[in-house]
Parts: sequence; C-alpha cells; structure tokens
Amino acid sequence: MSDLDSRYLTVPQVAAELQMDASAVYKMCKSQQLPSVRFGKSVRIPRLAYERYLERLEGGRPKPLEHDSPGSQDQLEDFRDATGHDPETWIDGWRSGSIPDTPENTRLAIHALALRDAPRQRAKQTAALP
Amino acid sequence: MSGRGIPFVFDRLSEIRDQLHLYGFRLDPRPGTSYVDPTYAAEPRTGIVEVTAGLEDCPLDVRVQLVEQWRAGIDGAHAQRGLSVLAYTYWVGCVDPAIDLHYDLDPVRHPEMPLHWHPPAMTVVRRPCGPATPGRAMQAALQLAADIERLQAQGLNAAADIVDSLDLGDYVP
Repeated sequence: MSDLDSRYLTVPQVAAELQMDASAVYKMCKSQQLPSVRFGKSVRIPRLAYERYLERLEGGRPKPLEHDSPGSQDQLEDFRDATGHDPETWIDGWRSGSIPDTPENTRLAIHALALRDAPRQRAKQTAALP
Repeated sequence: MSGRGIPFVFDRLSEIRDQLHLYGFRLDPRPGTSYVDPTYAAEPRTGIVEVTAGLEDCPLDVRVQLVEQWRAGIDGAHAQRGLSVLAYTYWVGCVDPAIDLHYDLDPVRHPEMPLHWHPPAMTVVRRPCGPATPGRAMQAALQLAADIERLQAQGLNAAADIVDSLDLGDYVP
C-alpha cells in the first residue's frame, strides 16, 4: 500500500465502515458534510478528516480558543508599524493600484478597512440603540 | 446589538475553528493579531476574524489563511443575525513547491469584479467567481495537497509543471 493509499480512503471503504450505501457517502462528500478530494474521476476521503467526522458524530469538539483582544488603538499602532501607513492612506494606495495585488496586501487592505470603519460602525450601532 | 462592536466574531471564529478541525487542520494554539505572524484573532471592535492553520497528516506544508471583516447590515456576504462580510480573503498555499491561490471579496480595489479568485499560476491572474466560504478554501487546500502529492508521485516536481497539470474546475467556487 502506498503512502497516498494509506492516507486516503475510497468511498466504498467508508461506506463499508459506516454501513451505508456508497451513494449516500457520495452525497455527504458533495454537500461537504464529509471532506473529500478528487483523484481524477474518483473521490477519496482523507483518513484524518474521516476520523474527525466520526469524532464529531460522537460529540467531540476541539478545545475552546483563548482570546487576547488588544485595544483598537494598539491595533492601529501595530498596523502603522507593520505598513508604515495609516489605514486611510493604505486604502487609497490599494484602491489606486499603487500597492501590488498580493495575498498579503489583500489581507492588510481588509485590516485597513476595518480599522478605518470601526469608529463609524460603533457610532452606527450606538445610534441604533433604543 | 450593543456599542461594544460585533461580539458575533467570537462565534464565527469558533465555527471556523470547528470546521478546520473537521478538515484536518491544526491551529497555532497562541492567540495573536500580529501583522507579521498572525495566528488567530476575533476583534469585536473592528469586526475582524482571522485564522491561519496548517494541514495535519500531510508531508507537505499546506496552509490556509482566512480573513473576514464583519459589519452591521446584510448587504455583504454570508449575511446572518443582521451582520454580513464586507470583505474577505481566503488564501490557500503550499510552501514547497510554492503554489498558492486565493478567493477574494474586494469591493474597494475591484468594484467591477468584487468577487474573484486568483487561481494557481506563475503570474498574477484574477478571474470572476461565485461567493467563496472558509469551507471552500479548506476543500481547496485538501485538493491542492492531494494533487501535488499525486503529481509528484508521477514524477512532476517543478511548481510550474504541477500548476499546468491541475484541473482548475476542482478549485473554482
């Protein structure tokens, strides 16, 4: 058995383990209830994803995440330190195309938008309070 | 909703984390919002949800980075509970061979094509597509890992050769 064969299960293998019809497993893959990949025309299920699916059926969940939320002023300063720009000037550069269209810059543009809009959003929410 | 921002981002982060776990990803256990080395963050003040995760049980270093900006209003993507996503980027990449792709909602830079994706390519390419989700990006990461391994087993090792052999139909939302 190759390394690939040991880490990916076929639909008939999963159907046999779950005592289900193969067509039901295909449906679960199509709906993304069960993660799957395509090997050419065949569908395979990563073994780890299948094990996680079984864990989930038994009620298993990953541990809760810890949160460490800095204040918005810290975020603003962090953004300036990382980019050398204020969010507004970053957005201008992003919009005009002077900042290259890379994955990292796309991410920073979302942060710039969020930092710029946060005070407006808070004002909007406060105004909506009864 | 209160003036405390968007507490829903904590629920959203948990939802994405559960889905990452199901798909076989691990998160760096440290919370962090560094712009240089992000791990995961939920920021109610800005509406940002951000996660970086790596695929487990895989000989390749395959990662996803998922960033969403939530705000009040239902005119954006993934609308629920009176909120929606103004902008997102879902990035999928393999470190070696260096191959990546990303799905974006970007109404600022590309108002003519806010929903688009950058398919795996050796040059910058942008194509229109339907809405993407974190789950779609996780699916793409699994597919990328499987495709690279399968093609390497067939003797293809250069990133450009692997990219040329990918079926983009398996990746487009």
